[in-house]
Amino acid sequence: MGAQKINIPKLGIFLGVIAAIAAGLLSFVSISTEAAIKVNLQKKTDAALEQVLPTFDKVESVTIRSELDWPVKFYIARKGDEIVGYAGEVITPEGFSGDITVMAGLELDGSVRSVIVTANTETPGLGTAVTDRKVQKTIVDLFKGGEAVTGLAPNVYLDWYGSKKAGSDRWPIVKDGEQINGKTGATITSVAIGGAVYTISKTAVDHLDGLSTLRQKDLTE
Amino acid sequence: MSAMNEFSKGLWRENPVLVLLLGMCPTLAVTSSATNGLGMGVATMFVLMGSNIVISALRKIVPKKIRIPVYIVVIATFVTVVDLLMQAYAPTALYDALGIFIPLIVVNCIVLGRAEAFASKNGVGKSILDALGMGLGFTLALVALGGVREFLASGSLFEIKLIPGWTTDFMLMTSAPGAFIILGLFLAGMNSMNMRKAKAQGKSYKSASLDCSSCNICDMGGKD
Repeated sequence: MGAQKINIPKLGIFLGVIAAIAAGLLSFVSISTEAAIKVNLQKKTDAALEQVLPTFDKVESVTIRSELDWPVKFYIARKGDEIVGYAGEVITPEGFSGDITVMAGLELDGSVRSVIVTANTETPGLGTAVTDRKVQKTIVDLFKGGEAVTGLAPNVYLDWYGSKKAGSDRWPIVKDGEQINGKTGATITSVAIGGAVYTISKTAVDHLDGLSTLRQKDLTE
Repeated sequence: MSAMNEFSKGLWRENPVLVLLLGMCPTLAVTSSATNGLGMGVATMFVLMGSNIVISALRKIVPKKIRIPVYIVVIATFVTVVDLLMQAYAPTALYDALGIFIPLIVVNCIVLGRAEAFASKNGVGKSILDALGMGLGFTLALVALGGVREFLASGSLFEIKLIPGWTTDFMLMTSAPGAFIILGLFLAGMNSMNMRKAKAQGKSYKSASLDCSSCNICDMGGKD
């Protein structure tokens, strides 16, 4: 060891230069793609809203903080002047690998209509089995050509929340008959989504007045 | 070695999953269906190509002692850039299909392994061929593993049900233990094929020399 001369400053500077180039490149790409990414996310949100809400012609958003101080973004959908439904969107930090963005369409009383996950980085095949809505195809459909499916593709785990309304506690992971809201091998993802849907519904139920005040305020404008 | 050889070695002789046993984490985690295997494989091939090009281009100026941190910075930067660019400009369907695999590639040791074992010693052209072969070999192995697991788990392939009445999933196959079992059977099958081939030629089968004696990760000798 002693015989070998290690030029620490030189190595340090080289590594520093490489890191600086990498940082510069990353910030350049990050800044130059920011706008385009935002547009894409907005498109995704719009598509998601159309899926979880009944037909509407305009939508406004308001952010309300939940009991746990998570910001929940509510979309108030109107047809004409009448509110036809709410949609809540929350980013839960409880996912298995990073944030999960959950959107839930709500009835006027705050109960859940339908749930979709708009962004996640869960493990493909395990966590995504809970988060993704995919049309089940069989080989028979392939030969018959199959009719185009409209509306939301089924997902047993997400559909569990349909018509549920948040009470005082989070929903546990349960299996009642054919219905189940948790997947073996993806417990953390299942719990995170349950928590997010609960947060959306609970916040809506707690702030129904607030949501309708917004309606009154808008109507007077 | 000829150019064709650089490409084809990744497919079978030095297949990254079945021979080198690299990238076990994504291999075991995402091969629950053939589609996932394909997505992971294609995304990895793309990143591998980029990182091999950059690293073989830089190979002469990177001091030996700090090459591994440099490779990690280069690979992580490349992956993040690809992720952002895809998110911004790729068709939504493509990003939806591949985007989820991209962050997993940062920790994929196939990429670092090829950087260290190949790209750092060979020219750009050869490194591209190596990346293509290794990427394709990785993809094929993942699709095969994913296909077997998906079929055994739910009777479907590429998310199309081949056996309509099959409703209850065979859970063992969808979770990690199933991945280990199927991978083990794949490795056994591959070794037995290689042994039979060697026997037919009157030789005894010896696996590729990939043990410690031929690895240079620890070779941090005083050349910088």
